[in-house]
Amino acid sequence: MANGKSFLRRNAPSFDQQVYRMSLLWPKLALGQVRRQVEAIWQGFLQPSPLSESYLITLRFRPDSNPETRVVSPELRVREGFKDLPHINPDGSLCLNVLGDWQPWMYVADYVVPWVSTWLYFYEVWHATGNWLGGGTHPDKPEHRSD
Amino acid sequence: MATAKIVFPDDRNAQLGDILRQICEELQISPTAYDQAVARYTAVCNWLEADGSVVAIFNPTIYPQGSMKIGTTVKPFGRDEYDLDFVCEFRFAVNSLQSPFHLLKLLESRLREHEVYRSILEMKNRCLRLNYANEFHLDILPACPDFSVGDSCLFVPDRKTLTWKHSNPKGYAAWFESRCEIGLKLLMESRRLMEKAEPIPPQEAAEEKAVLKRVVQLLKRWRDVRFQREPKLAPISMVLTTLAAQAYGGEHTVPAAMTSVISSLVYLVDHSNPRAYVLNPANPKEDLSERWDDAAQYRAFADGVRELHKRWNEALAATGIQNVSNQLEQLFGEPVKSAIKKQARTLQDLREKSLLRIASVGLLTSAPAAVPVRPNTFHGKR
Repeated sequence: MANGKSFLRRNAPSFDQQVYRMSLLWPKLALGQVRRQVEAIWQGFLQPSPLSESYLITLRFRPDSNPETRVVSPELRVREGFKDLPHINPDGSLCLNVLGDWQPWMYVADYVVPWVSTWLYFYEVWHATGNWLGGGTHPDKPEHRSD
Repeated sequence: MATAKIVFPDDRNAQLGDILRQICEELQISPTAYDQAVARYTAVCNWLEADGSVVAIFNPTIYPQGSMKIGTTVKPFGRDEYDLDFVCEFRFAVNSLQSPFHLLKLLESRLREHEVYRSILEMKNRCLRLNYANEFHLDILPACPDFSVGDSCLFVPDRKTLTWKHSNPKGYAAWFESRCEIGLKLLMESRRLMEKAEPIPPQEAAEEKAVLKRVVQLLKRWRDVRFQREPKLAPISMVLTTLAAQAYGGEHTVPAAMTSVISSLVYLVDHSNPRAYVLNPANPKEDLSERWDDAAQYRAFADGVRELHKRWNEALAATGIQNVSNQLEQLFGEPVKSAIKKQARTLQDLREKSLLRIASVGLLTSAPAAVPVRPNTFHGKR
Protein backbone atom coordinates (compact mmCIF):
# COMPACT_ATOMS: atom_id res chain seq x y z
CA MET A 1 0.00 0.00 0.00
CA ALA A 2 2.96 2.34 -0.53
CA ASN A 3 1.71 5.81 -1.38
CA GLY A 4 3.17 6.49 -4.83
CA LYS A 5 2.31 10.15 -5.25
CA SER A 6 5.86 11.44 -4.70
CA PHE A 7 5.84 13.15 -8.11
CA LEU A 8 3.66 15.80 -6.52
CA ARG A 9 6.78 16.85 -4.59
CA ARG A 10 4.86 18.03 -1.62
CA ASN A 11 6.75 20.09 0.88
CA ALA A 12 7.71 18.27 4.03
CA PRO A 13 6.30 19.90 7.18
CA SER A 14 8.87 21.53 9.39
CA PHE A 15 9.93 20.03 12.71
CA ASP A 16 7.85 22.64 14.57
CA GLN A 17 4.82 21.94 12.38
CA GLN A 18 5.05 18.23 13.26
CA VAL A 19 5.16 19.07 16.97
CA TYR A 20 2.29 21.54 16.69
CA ARG A 21 0.10 19.13 14.72
CA MET A 22 0.64 16.44 17.38
CA SER A 23 -0.48 18.81 20.15
CA LEU A 24 -3.51 19.73 18.07
CA LEU A 25 -4.74 16.20 17.28
CA TRP A 26 -3.40 14.29 20.30
CA PRO A 27 -3.24 16.69 23.24
CA LYS A 28 -3.09 13.73 25.62
CA LEU A 29 0.12 12.40 24.07
CA ALA A 30 2.57 14.46 26.07
CA LEU A 31 5.68 15.85 24.44
CA GLY A 32 8.60 14.69 26.56
CA GLN A 33 12.13 14.96 25.36
CA VAL A 34 12.63 17.37 22.47
CA ARG A 35 15.81 18.53 20.69
CA ARG A 36 14.73 20.91 17.99
CA GLN A 37 15.39 19.74 14.45
CA VAL A 38 16.82 16.48 15.84
CA GLU A 39 14.28 14.51 17.82
CA ALA A 40 10.88 14.69 19.54
CA ILE A 41 9.45 12.00 21.81
CA TRP A 42 5.81 11.81 22.89
CA GLN A 43 4.35 9.57 25.55
CA GLY A 44 0.73 8.80 26.41
CA PHE A 45 -2.13 6.33 26.35
CA LEU A 46 -3.93 4.85 23.35
CA GLN A 47 -7.00 2.61 23.59
CA PRO A 48 -7.83 1.11 20.19
CA SER A 49 -11.39 -0.07 20.92
CA PRO A 50 -13.87 0.34 23.79
CA LEU A 51 -13.20 -3.16 25.18
CA SER A 52 -9.43 -2.79 24.75
CA GLU A 53 -6.74 -2.04 27.29
CA SER A 54 -5.18 1.43 27.41
CA TYR A 55 -1.58 1.15 26.29
CA LEU A 56 1.16 3.53 27.35
CA ILE A 57 3.19 4.17 24.22
CA THR A 58 6.17 6.28 23.20
CA LEU A 59 6.56 7.75 19.75
CA ARG A 60 9.89 9.11 18.54
CA PHE A 61 10.14 11.39 15.53
CA ARG A 62 13.37 12.29 13.74
CA PRO A 63 13.41 14.16 10.45
CA ASP A 64 14.53 11.88 7.61
CA SER A 65 13.90 8.62 9.43
CA ASN A 66 11.03 6.24 10.03
CA PRO A 67 9.13 7.22 13.22
CA GLU A 68 9.62 4.71 16.02
CA THR A 69 6.90 3.47 18.37
CA ARG A 70 7.15 1.33 21.47
CA VAL A 71 4.62 -0.04 23.91
CA VAL A 72 5.73 0.68 27.47
CA SER A 73 2.88 -0.96 29.35
CA PRO A 74 1.19 -3.32 29.67
CA GLU A 75 4.18 -5.26 28.43
CA LEU A 76 3.61 -6.97 25.08
CA ARG A 77 3.43 -10.73 25.52
CA VAL A 78 3.89 -13.62 23.11
CA ARG A 79 0.74 -15.69 22.73
CA GLU A 80 0.81 -19.25 24.01
CA GLY A 81 1.82 -21.60 21.21
CA PHE A 82 3.77 -18.92 19.32
CA LYS A 83 7.50 -18.20 19.28
CA ASP A 84 7.39 -14.42 18.99
CA LEU A 85 5.28 -11.32 18.52
CA PRO A 86 3.93 -10.50 15.05
CA HIS A 87 5.05 -7.34 13.27
CA ILE A 88 7.80 -6.30 15.69
CA ASN A 89 11.24 -4.99 14.76
CA PRO A 90 14.30 -6.75 16.15
CA ASP A 91 14.77 -3.86 18.60
CA GLY A 92 11.25 -4.32 20.01
CA SER A 93 9.62 -1.32 18.33
CA LEU A 94 6.36 -1.83 16.42
CA CYS A 95 6.69 -2.60 12.74
CA LEU A 96 3.91 -0.41 11.43
CA ASN A 97 4.79 -0.04 7.79
CA VAL A 98 6.85 -1.23 4.87
CA LEU A 99 9.46 1.06 3.39
CA GLY A 100 7.66 3.67 1.33
CA ASP A 101 4.49 3.82 3.45
CA TRP A 102 6.16 6.59 5.40
CA GLN A 103 7.12 9.75 3.48
CA PRO A 104 8.75 12.94 4.74
CA TRP A 105 5.73 15.03 3.69
CA MET A 106 3.48 13.09 6.09
CA TYR A 107 2.43 14.27 9.52
CA VAL A 108 3.19 11.86 12.36
CA ALA A 109 -0.09 12.92 13.98
CA ASP A 110 -2.23 12.03 10.95
CA TYR A 111 -0.44 8.89 9.85
CA VAL A 112 1.54 7.16 12.56
CA VAL A 113 -0.79 7.49 15.57
CA PRO A 114 -3.72 5.82 13.73
CA TRP A 115 -1.35 3.05 12.60
CA VAL A 116 -0.35 2.42 16.22
CA SER A 117 -3.98 2.12 17.33
CA THR A 118 -4.71 -0.29 14.49
CA TRP A 119 -1.64 -2.35 15.42
CA LEU A 120 -2.77 -2.51 19.06
CA TYR A 121 -6.27 -3.63 18.06
CA PHE A 122 -4.99 -6.48 15.89
CA TYR A 123 -2.48 -7.42 18.61
CA GLU A 124 -5.39 -7.99 21.03
CA VAL A 125 -7.37 -9.93 18.43
CA TRP A 126 -4.25 -12.06 17.79
CA HIS A 127 -4.10 -12.88 21.51
CA ALA A 128 -7.80 -13.74 21.56
CA THR A 129 -7.87 -15.87 18.42
CA GLY A 130 -4.33 -16.78 17.33
CA ASN A 131 -4.86 -15.00 14.00
CA TRP A 132 -3.37 -11.71 12.82
CA LEU A 133 -6.28 -10.26 10.89
CA GLY A 134 -4.74 -6.90 10.03
CA GLY A 135 -2.98 -8.01 6.86
CA GLY A 136 0.61 -7.10 6.10
CA THR A 137 3.72 -8.77 4.81
CA HIS A 138 4.93 -12.19 6.00
CA PRO A 139 1.67 -13.89 5.09
CA ASP A 140 3.52 -17.22 5.38
CA LYS A 141 3.62 -16.91 9.16
CA PRO A 142 1.12 -18.99 11.17
CA GLU A 143 -0.72 -15.95 12.59
CA HIS A 144 -1.74 -14.97 9.06
CA ARG A 145 -3.87 -18.04 8.61
CA SER A 146 -7.40 -16.80 8.37
CA ASP A 147 -9.28 -19.93 9.46
CA MET B 1 -30.90 -3.14 -2.52
CA ALA B 2 -28.50 -0.65 -0.95
CA THR B 3 -25.62 -2.27 0.88
CA ALA B 4 -25.83 -1.87 4.64
CA LYS B 5 -23.46 0.69 6.10
CA ILE B 6 -20.56 -0.98 7.91
CA VAL B 7 -20.32 0.29 11.46
CA PHE B 8 -17.72 -0.41 14.11
CA PRO B 9 -19.17 -0.23 17.65
CA ASP B 10 -18.05 2.82 19.60
CA ASP B 11 -18.83 2.01 23.22
CA ARG B 12 -18.24 -1.00 25.49
CA ASN B 13 -21.86 -2.04 25.54
CA ALA B 14 -22.13 -1.88 21.76
CA GLN B 15 -18.87 -3.75 21.18
CA LEU B 16 -19.81 -6.50 23.64
CA GLY B 17 -23.35 -6.61 22.21
CA ASP B 18 -21.92 -7.06 18.72
CA ILE B 19 -19.79 -10.01 19.91
CA LEU B 20 -22.79 -11.61 21.64
CA ARG B 21 -24.96 -11.14 18.54
CA GLN B 22 -22.29 -12.84 16.42
CA ILE B 23 -22.17 -15.75 18.91
CA CYS B 24 -25.93 -16.23 18.52
CA GLU B 25 -25.69 -16.11 14.74
CA GLU B 26 -23.00 -18.74 14.90
CA LEU B 27 -25.24 -20.98 17.05
CA GLN B 28 -28.60 -20.62 15.38
CA ILE B 29 -29.87 -22.70 12.51
CA SER B 30 -28.79 -21.30 9.14
CA PRO B 31 -31.45 -19.98 6.75
CA THR B 32 -30.64 -22.84 4.35
CA ALA B 33 -31.08 -25.49 7.05
CA TYR B 34 -34.24 -23.73 8.23
CA ASP B 35 -35.71 -23.90 4.72
CA GLN B 36 -34.69 -27.52 4.50
CA ALA B 37 -36.48 -28.28 7.78
CA VAL B 38 -39.61 -26.56 6.48
CA ALA B 39 -39.41 -28.63 3.29
CA ARG B 40 -39.01 -31.82 5.36
CA TYR B 41 -41.99 -31.20 7.60
CA THR B 42 -44.15 -30.10 4.69
CA ALA B 43 -43.29 -33.40 2.99
CA VAL B 44 -44.29 -35.31 6.13
CA CYS B 45 -47.57 -33.42 6.22
CA ASN B 46 -48.24 -34.24 2.55
CA TRP B 47 -47.57 -37.89 3.25
CA LEU B 48 -50.10 -37.90 6.09
CA GLU B 49 -52.71 -36.23 3.88
CA ALA B 50 -52.04 -38.27 0.74
CA ASP B 51 -54.58 -40.60 -0.89
CA GLY B 52 -54.58 -43.94 0.91
CA SER B 53 -53.46 -42.47 4.21
CA VAL B 54 -55.45 -43.82 7.16
CA VAL B 55 -55.01 -40.54 9.03
CA ALA B 56 -56.03 -38.22 6.17
CA ILE B 57 -59.63 -38.06 7.35
CA PHE B 58 -58.50 -36.42 10.60
CA ASN B 59 -57.11 -33.39 8.74
CA PRO B 60 -53.57 -33.53 10.13
CA THR B 61 -51.69 -30.23 10.18
CA ILE B 62 -48.04 -29.90 11.12
CA TYR B 63 -46.56 -26.72 12.51
CA PRO B 64 -43.34 -25.79 14.30
CA GLN B 65 -43.23 -25.30 18.05
CA GLY B 66 -40.51 -24.49 20.57
CA SER B 67 -37.24 -22.86 19.50
CA MET B 68 -37.99 -23.35 15.78
CA LYS B 69 -41.21 -21.39 16.23
CA ILE B 70 -39.90 -18.60 18.48
CA GLY B 71 -36.48 -18.15 16.85
CA THR B 72 -34.20 -19.34 19.65
CA THR B 73 -32.51 -22.38 18.09
CA VAL B 74 -29.07 -23.27 19.42
CA LYS B 75 -26.69 -25.78 17.87
CA PRO B 76 -26.40 -28.71 20.28
CA PHE B 77 -23.08 -29.08 22.09
CA GLY B 78 -20.76 -31.59 20.45
CA ARG B 79 -23.02 -32.77 17.64
CA ASP B 80 -24.32 -31.42 14.36
CA GLU B 81 -28.05 -32.16 14.46
CA TYR B 82 -30.44 -29.51 15.72
CA ASP B 83 -33.49 -30.72 17.65
CA LEU B 84 -36.52 -29.22 15.93
CA ASP B 85 -39.98 -29.69 17.40
CA PHE B 86 -43.25 -29.91 15.53
CA VAL B 87 -46.86 -30.55 16.46
CA CYS B 88 -48.99 -32.81 14.31
CA GLU B 89 -52.53 -31.86 15.18
CA PHE B 90 -55.39 -34.20 14.33
CA ARG B 91 -58.92 -32.89 14.31
CA PHE B 92 -60.79 -35.35 16.48
CA ALA B 93 -62.04 -35.58 20.02
CA VAL B 94 -59.63 -37.24 22.39
CA ASN B 95 -62.32 -39.53 23.86
CA SER B 96 -62.84 -41.16 20.48
CA LEU B 97 -59.52 -42.94 21.02
CA GLN B 98 -59.09 -45.99 23.24
CA SER B 99 -55.87 -44.70 24.80
CA PRO B 100 -53.13 -42.11 24.29
CA PHE B 101 -50.98 -44.92 22.98
CA HIS B 102 -53.29 -45.27 19.97
CA LEU B 103 -52.54 -41.76 18.79
CA LEU B 104 -48.81 -42.43 18.76
CA LYS B 105 -49.49 -45.76 17.01
CA LEU B 106 -51.68 -44.12 14.39
CA LEU B 107 -48.96 -41.65 13.41
CA GLU B 108 -46.27 -44.30 13.58
CA SER B 109 -48.09 -46.77 11.33
CA ARG B 110 -48.59 -44.15 8.63
CA LEU B 111 -44.94 -43.06 8.77
CA ARG B 112 -43.80 -46.68 8.57
CA GLU B 113 -45.56 -47.04 5.22
CA HIS B 114 -43.00 -44.60 3.80
CA GLU B 115 -39.77 -46.10 2.55
CA VAL B 116 -37.49 -43.36 3.89
CA TYR B 117 -39.32 -42.47 7.10
CA ARG B 118 -39.38 -46.13 8.08
CA SER B 119 -35.59 -46.28 8.18
CA ILE B 120 -35.04 -43.06 10.14
CA LEU B 121 -37.96 -43.30 12.57
CA GLU B 122 -37.37 -43.46 16.31
CA MET B 123 -40.03 -43.73 19.02
CA LYS B 124 -39.79 -41.32 21.95
CA ASN B 125 -41.95 -40.92 25.02
CA ARG B 126 -44.22 -38.19 23.70
CA CYS B 127 -43.20 -37.88 20.09
CA LEU B 128 -41.87 -39.60 17.01
CA ARG B 129 -38.45 -38.62 15.84
CA LEU B 130 -37.16 -38.57 12.26
CA ASN B 131 -33.35 -38.63 12.31
CA TYR B 132 -31.84 -36.74 9.40
CA ALA B 133 -28.13 -37.43 9.87
CA ASN B 134 -25.95 -34.28 9.96
CA GLU B 135 -29.02 -32.06 9.60
CA PHE B 136 -31.56 -32.27 12.39
CA HIS B 137 -33.83 -34.42 14.51
CA LEU B 138 -37.38 -33.71 13.54
CA ASP B 139 -39.52 -34.42 16.58
CA ILE B 140 -43.20 -34.75 15.78
CA LEU B 141 -45.61 -34.54 18.68
CA PRO B 142 -49.05 -35.95 17.83
CA ALA B 143 -51.87 -34.01 19.45
CA CYS B 144 -55.59 -33.42 19.37
CA PRO B 145 -57.51 -30.34 20.37
CA ASP B 146 -58.82 -29.92 23.90
CA PHE B 147 -62.35 -28.90 22.88
CA SER B 148 -63.36 -28.33 26.52
CA VAL B 149 -60.91 -25.41 26.84
CA GLY B 150 -60.74 -24.28 23.24
CA ASP B 151 -58.23 -21.72 21.97
CA SER B 152 -55.09 -23.55 21.05
CA CYS B 153 -55.07 -26.00 23.95
CA LEU B 154 -54.09 -29.55 23.10
CA PHE B 155 -53.97 -33.06 24.52
CA VAL B 156 -50.72 -34.92 23.92
CA PRO B 157 -50.08 -38.59 24.67
CA ASP B 158 -47.55 -39.78 27.23
CA ARG B 159 -46.27 -43.24 26.44
CA LYS B 160 -44.76 -44.02 29.86
CA THR B 161 -47.81 -43.17 31.96
CA LEU B 162 -50.39 -43.90 29.25
CA THR B 163 -52.14 -40.64 30.09
CA TRP B 164 -53.02 -37.45 28.23
CA LYS B 165 -51.00 -34.36 29.06
CA HIS B 166 -52.09 -30.78 28.51
CA SER B 167 -50.10 -28.64 26.13
CA ASN B 168 -50.45 -25.29 24.40
CA PRO B 169 -47.48 -24.59 22.12
CA LYS B 170 -49.26 -21.86 20.13
CA GLY B 171 -50.33 -20.11 23.31
CA TYR B 172 -46.79 -20.31 24.68
CA ALA B 173 -45.28 -18.88 21.49
CA ALA B 174 -47.78 -16.00 21.54
CA TRP B 175 -46.92 -15.26 25.18
CA PHE B 176 -43.17 -15.31 24.40
CA GLU B 177 -43.57 -12.98 21.41
CA SER B 178 -45.55 -10.55 23.57
CA ARG B 179 -42.64 -10.51 26.06
CA CYS B 180 -40.21 -9.82 23.20
CA GLU B 181 -42.16 -6.69 22.31
CA ILE B 182 -41.78 -5.04 25.72
CA GLY B 183 -38.58 -3.30 24.66
CA LEU B 184 -40.22 -2.05 21.50
CA LYS B 185 -43.20 -0.71 23.43
CA LEU B 186 -40.93 1.12 25.87
CA LEU B 187 -39.01 2.60 22.96
CA MET B 188 -42.20 3.82 21.29
CA GLU B 189 -43.37 5.27 24.60
CA SER B 190 -40.10 7.15 25.13
CA ARG B 191 -40.28 8.51 21.58
CA ARG B 192 -43.81 9.66 22.19
CA LEU B 193 -42.73 11.44 25.39
CA MET B 194 -39.88 13.10 23.54
CA GLU B 195 -42.45 14.09 20.91
CA LYS B 196 -40.54 12.40 18.16
CA ALA B 197 -43.11 11.53 15.59
CA GLU B 198 -41.07 9.42 13.22
CA PRO B 199 -41.88 5.69 13.24
CA ILE B 200 -39.32 3.07 14.23
CA PRO B 201 -37.78 1.59 11.07
CA PRO B 202 -38.53 -2.13 10.48
CA GLN B 203 -34.89 -3.20 10.85
CA GLU B 204 -34.57 -1.48 14.21
CA ALA B 205 -37.91 -2.92 15.33
CA ALA B 206 -36.74 -6.43 14.40
CA GLU B 207 -33.52 -5.96 16.40
CA GLU B 208 -35.46 -4.63 19.38
CA LYS B 209 -37.73 -7.66 19.30
CA ALA B 210 -34.77 -10.01 19.07
CA VAL B 211 -33.03 -8.88 22.28
CA LEU B 212 -34.88 -11.43 24.44
CA LYS B 213 -34.37 -14.16 21.81
CA ARG B 214 -30.61 -13.55 21.91
CA VAL B 215 -30.67 -13.76 25.71
CA VAL B 216 -32.49 -17.10 25.55
CA GLN B 217 -29.96 -18.44 23.02
CA LEU B 218 -27.05 -17.36 25.21
CA LEU B 219 -28.59 -18.93 28.32
CA LYS B 220 -29.20 -22.21 26.47
CA ARG B 221 -25.64 -22.20 25.18
CA TRP B 222 -24.31 -21.46 28.68
CA ARG B 223 -26.38 -24.42 29.94
CA ASP B 224 -24.92 -26.74 27.28
CA VAL B 225 -21.36 -25.69 28.14
CA ARG B 226 -21.85 -25.68 31.93
CA PHE B 227 -23.54 -29.09 32.06
CA GLN B 228 -21.63 -30.84 29.27
CA ARG B 229 -20.35 -33.53 31.67
CA GLU B 230 -23.63 -33.96 33.54
CA PRO B 231 -26.34 -33.33 30.94
CA LYS B 232 -28.98 -35.03 33.10
CA LEU B 233 -28.67 -32.17 35.62
CA ALA B 234 -29.11 -29.45 32.97
CA PRO B 235 -32.24 -27.28 33.21
CA ILE B 236 -34.58 -27.81 30.26
CA SER B 237 -34.83 -25.19 27.51
CA MET B 238 -38.44 -24.31 28.29
CA VAL B 239 -37.55 -23.48 31.90
CA LEU B 240 -34.71 -21.19 30.82
CA THR B 241 -36.84 -19.59 28.10
CA THR B 242 -39.74 -18.94 30.48
CA LEU B 243 -37.54 -17.53 33.25
CA ALA B 244 -35.73 -15.23 30.82
CA ALA B 245 -38.97 -14.00 29.27
CA GLN B 246 -40.50 -13.33 32.71
CA ALA B 247 -37.41 -11.43 33.91
CA TYR B 248 -36.83 -9.41 30.74
CA GLY B 249 -37.50 -5.75 31.47
CA GLY B 250 -37.45 -4.36 27.94
CA GLU B 251 -33.73 -3.50 27.86
CA HIS B 252 -32.63 -2.35 24.40
CA THR B 253 -29.25 -4.09 24.32
CA VAL B 254 -28.29 -7.74 24.78
CA PRO B 255 -25.63 -7.07 27.47
CA ALA B 256 -28.09 -4.99 29.54
CA ALA B 257 -30.83 -7.59 29.13
CA MET B 258 -28.43 -10.41 30.10
CA THR B 259 -27.40 -8.52 33.24
CA SER B 260 -31.00 -7.95 34.23
CA VAL B 261 -32.11 -11.55 33.53
CA ILE B 262 -29.12 -13.08 35.34
CA SER B 263 -29.74 -10.86 38.40
CA SER B 264 -33.36 -12.06 38.45
CA LEU B 265 -32.23 -15.68 38.29
CA VAL B 266 -29.93 -15.14 41.27
CA TYR B 267 -32.75 -13.43 43.18
CA LEU B 268 -35.04 -16.36 42.38
CA VAL B 269 -32.66 -19.05 43.66
CA ASP B 270 -31.72 -16.95 46.71
CA HIS B 271 -35.35 -16.50 47.71
CA SER B 272 -36.89 -19.88 46.89
CA ASN B 273 -36.97 -22.57 49.53
CA PRO B 274 -36.82 -25.50 49.10
CA ARG B 275 -37.06 -24.82 45.36
CA ALA B 276 -38.37 -22.42 42.73
CA TYR B 277 -41.39 -23.16 40.54
CA VAL B 278 -41.61 -22.33 36.86
CA LEU B 279 -45.19 -22.61 35.65
CA ASN B 280 -46.19 -22.65 32.01
CA PRO B 281 -47.56 -19.15 31.29
CA ALA B 282 -49.90 -20.69 28.70
CA ASN B 283 -51.13 -23.28 31.20
CA PRO B 284 -50.47 -22.42 34.86
CA LYS B 285 -51.45 -25.93 35.91
CA GLU B 286 -48.30 -27.23 34.27
CA ASP B 287 -45.11 -27.13 36.37
CA LEU B 288 -42.34 -26.90 33.80
CA SER B 289 -39.81 -27.34 36.57
CA GLU B 290 -41.17 -30.64 37.91
CA ARG B 291 -37.69 -32.16 37.64
CA TRP B 292 -36.63 -29.86 40.47
CA ASP B 293 -38.59 -32.07 42.87
CA ASP B 294 -35.28 -33.91 42.80
CA ALA B 295 -33.14 -31.83 45.16
CA ALA B 296 -29.91 -32.66 43.32
CA GLN B 297 -31.35 -31.29 40.06
CA TYR B 298 -32.41 -28.06 41.72
CA ARG B 299 -29.10 -27.62 43.54
CA ALA B 300 -27.26 -28.03 40.22
CA PHE B 301 -29.41 -25.25 38.73
CA ALA B 302 -28.96 -22.91 41.71
CA ASP B 303 -25.18 -23.44 41.81
CA GLY B 304 -24.98 -22.96 38.06
CA VAL B 305 -26.90 -19.68 38.22
CA ARG B 306 -24.61 -18.28 40.94
CA GLU B 307 -21.55 -19.24 38.93
CA LEU B 308 -23.05 -17.69 35.79
CA HIS B 309 -23.63 -14.45 37.72
CA LYS B 310 -20.02 -14.35 38.92
CA ARG B 311 -18.53 -15.10 35.50
CA TRP B 312 -20.83 -12.68 33.68
CA ASN B 313 -19.78 -9.86 36.03
CA GLU B 314 -16.13 -10.78 35.44
CA ALA B 315 -16.67 -10.61 31.68
CA LEU B 316 -18.32 -7.18 32.04
CA ALA B 317 -15.39 -5.91 34.11
CA ALA B 318 -12.61 -7.30 31.89
CA THR B 319 -10.48 -5.02 29.70
CA GLY B 320 -8.49 -6.13 26.71
CA ILE B 321 -10.25 -8.00 23.91
CA GLN B 322 -8.26 -11.14 24.76
CA ASN B 323 -9.39 -11.01 28.41
CA VAL B 324 -13.03 -10.34 27.54
CA SER B 325 -12.79 -13.20 25.06
CA ASN B 326 -11.37 -15.59 27.69
CA GLN B 327 -14.18 -14.80 30.10
CA LEU B 328 -16.86 -15.21 27.44
CA GLU B 329 -15.32 -18.48 26.25
CA GLN B 330 -15.72 -19.96 29.72
CA LEU B 331 -19.43 -19.18 29.45
CA PHE B 332 -20.19 -19.88 25.80
CA GLY B 333 -17.26 -21.88 24.42
CA GLU B 334 -15.82 -21.92 20.92
CA PRO B 335 -18.16 -19.50 19.02
CA VAL B 336 -16.58 -16.60 20.95
CA LYS B 337 -13.39 -16.77 18.88
CA SER B 338 -15.36 -16.72 15.62
CA ALA B 339 -17.31 -13.71 16.88
CA ILE B 340 -14.12 -11.77 17.70
CA LYS B 341 -12.77 -12.63 14.25
CA LYS B 342 -15.92 -11.38 12.55
CA GLN B 343 -15.66 -8.09 14.41
CA ALA B 344 -11.98 -7.77 13.44
CA ARG B 345 -12.85 -8.46 9.79
CA THR B 346 -15.41 -5.64 9.92
CA LEU B 347 -12.69 -3.28 11.12
CA GLN B 348 -10.23 -4.52 8.51
CA ASP B 349 -12.92 -4.10 5.86
CA LEU B 350 -13.45 -0.47 6.89
CA ARG B 351 -9.69 0.05 6.85
CA GLU B 352 -9.29 -1.38 3.35
CA LYS B 353 -12.11 0.83 2.09
CA SER B 354 -10.47 3.87 3.73
CA LEU B 355 -13.56 4.32 5.93
CA LEU B 356 -11.78 3.77 9.23
CA ARG B 357 -11.38 6.80 11.48
CA ILE B 358 -9.76 7.39 14.82
CA ALA B 359 -11.19 9.44 17.66
CA SER B 360 -9.63 10.81 20.84
CA VAL B 361 -7.59 8.42 23.02
CA GLY B 362 -7.01 6.37 19.88
CA LEU B 363 -10.41 4.70 19.53
CA LEU B 364 -10.90 3.26 16.06
CA THR B 365 -14.32 4.14 14.72
CA SER B 366 -16.51 4.28 11.66
CA ALA B 367 -17.90 7.68 12.69
CA PRO B 368 -17.08 10.23 9.98
CA ALA B 369 -16.10 13.14 12.26
CA ALA B 370 -12.69 11.82 13.21
CA VAL B 371 -9.13 11.57 11.84
CA PRO B 372 -8.92 9.09 8.93
CA VAL B 373 -6.65 6.06 9.24
CA ARG B 374 -4.27 6.16 6.24
CA PRO B 375 -3.09 3.09 4.35
CA ASN B 376 -0.13 1.15 5.72
CA THR B 377 1.22 -2.39 5.55
CA PHE B 378 2.32 -4.05 8.80
CA HIS B 379 5.74 -5.48 8.20
CA GLY B 380 7.51 -8.48 9.71
CA LYS B 381 10.99 -8.87 11.04
CA ARG B 382 13.74 -7.57 8.75
